[in-house]
Amino acid sequence: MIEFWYLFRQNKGAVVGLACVLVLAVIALLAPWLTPHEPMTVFGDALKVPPFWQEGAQARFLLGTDDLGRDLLSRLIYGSRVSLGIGFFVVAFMTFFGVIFGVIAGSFEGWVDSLIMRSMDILMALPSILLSIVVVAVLGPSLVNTVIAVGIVSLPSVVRVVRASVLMEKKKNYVIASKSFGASWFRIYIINILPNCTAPLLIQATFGFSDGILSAAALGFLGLGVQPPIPEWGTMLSDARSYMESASWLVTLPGLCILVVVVAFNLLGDGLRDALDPKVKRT
Amino acid sequence: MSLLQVQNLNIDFSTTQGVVNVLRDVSFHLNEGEALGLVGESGSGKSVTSLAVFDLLASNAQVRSGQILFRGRNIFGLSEVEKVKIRGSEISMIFQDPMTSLNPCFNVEYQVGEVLRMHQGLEGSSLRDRVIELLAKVGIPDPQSRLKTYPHELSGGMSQRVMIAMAIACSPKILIADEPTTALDVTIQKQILSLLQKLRKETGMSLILVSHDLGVIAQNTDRLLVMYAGEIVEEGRSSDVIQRPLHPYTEGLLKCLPGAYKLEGRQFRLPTIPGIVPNLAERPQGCQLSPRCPYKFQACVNGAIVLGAVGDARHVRCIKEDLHGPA
Repeated sequence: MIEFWYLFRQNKGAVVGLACVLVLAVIALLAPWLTPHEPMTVFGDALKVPPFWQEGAQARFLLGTDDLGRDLLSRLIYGSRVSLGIGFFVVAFMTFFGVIFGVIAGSFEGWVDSLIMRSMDILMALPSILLSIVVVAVLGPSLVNTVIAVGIVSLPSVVRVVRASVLMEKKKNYVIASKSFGASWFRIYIINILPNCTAPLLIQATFGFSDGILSAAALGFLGLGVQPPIPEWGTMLSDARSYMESASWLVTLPGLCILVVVVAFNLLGDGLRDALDPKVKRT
Repeated sequence: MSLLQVQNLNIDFSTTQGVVNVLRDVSFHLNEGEALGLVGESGSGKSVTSLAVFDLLASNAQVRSGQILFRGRNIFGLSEVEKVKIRGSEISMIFQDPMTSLNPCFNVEYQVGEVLRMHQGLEGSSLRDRVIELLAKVGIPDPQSRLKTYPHELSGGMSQRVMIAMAIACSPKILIADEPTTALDVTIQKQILSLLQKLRKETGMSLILVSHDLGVIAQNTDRLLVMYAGEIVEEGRSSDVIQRPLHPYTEGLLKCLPGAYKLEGRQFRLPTIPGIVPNLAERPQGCQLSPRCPYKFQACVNGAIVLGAVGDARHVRCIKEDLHGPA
């Protein structure tokens, strides 16, 4: 643990990423106490009020209001809940199913392995956004279906990582030893091998978080993700598209939020990889 | 009826060089409470033999014929569930490299406890007490404080002691020690071997000690088997074999031991057996040792040599004495 923290600290970007992620998590958790207004409240007398650095700003709307007169800052803060929530559930979904398929593929080689891995190849061969559009088109656009769609699209990366680690670990001595002590399949693979695969899985999950948020925002932008009036950043972008010239803050600020979250998670993932992956470990 | 009986075991490995016959007609038995030694060079089939007892051979291995009877029941004929029950509780094994044989993710308490949970269903404080008792039994000082240590915090000798604790946790009938001291230094080697002896005397279990070191085997076993190229070439009481080796290979091995020659004021060069172990994909005709044997006759390469009985409980796969009489 101490060694891990030492290695992790070497990567300044990763520390910045971790800090951003922690700050965002706190903001998302404390959203009701941080926001000046309710995210859905419409102020009919204040449509498209600009943010504080522009002329005509109002002190009560720090980052201005949108075309319906809703406070942008409050919506962005609540949006962090939605986006991080989507990220979290996408990661949970893909890790859960990814681990199941990955362990099965890695342990029973042969035709089971081929079946699972070729299906994953098919998933990977299709452009991810197209595939998630198809899934949403079948299931219908909603918050839950966005998570499922994005989760399915990101499944192959986890399955591949888990399978590769299982294949590597199962050749190690402790597995033979554990077999010789009479361990069952479940005990060998789930209890003994899986914990040894956590490092690559954790790295993959971190990248999955940012990919998930990005894909969900893309779906929202296309009108297939989270539906209005829920304040999701991608959906907000798409709603504000027509005001890009008259009220540019409506587009730039949600876009900026997405950018910051995705960059933060990618930096964190890079840092984790540097610290946990023995192959890139610096001596 | 012996506890363990291996009968005419033939094992093939499919490799890139084709099917390789790794064990040829291996037969031996193990009595209750006995210490049996298995000696041979790398690749002679010692480890394959010991893994075969668990039916835990690599997936490219194939048992062509023969059986392994444990208490009269053929291991290869048992269902997976029955095999899992026997492994670890009736027959258990310790391995060559203790540092990698423990799972790096779990602490000592969990790993030793796991065996007990699996086979005896112990839980909670009775499990913990039993783990402490086992750790004390294998000579780990202050076992209470060692419970939460992880394998990377243990030395090689300590790891091997933990492995032994796991292996004897369910008081097995047979303990197979596959080169238990190869990765350890000499002082630790002595400690581990005497620990194994002590445990065997206390529990009355049988021990199969696998090693390439004839000296280690001679001191720690009652009876020994010498293996060469997947065949048993000599069998007998350890003291008999050491005093009067019948097979040229055993003789060669004995000569290779440092200390077998007394230095009489001048420097000796340690003798070696010339040549190398045959490639099992291209076995020599007749006697497997013939290309390296100092006594080679024409008859040695003409046909297969059988393992013949010589006197009391001795077997040898060599025709030298038949032709020349006892040397």
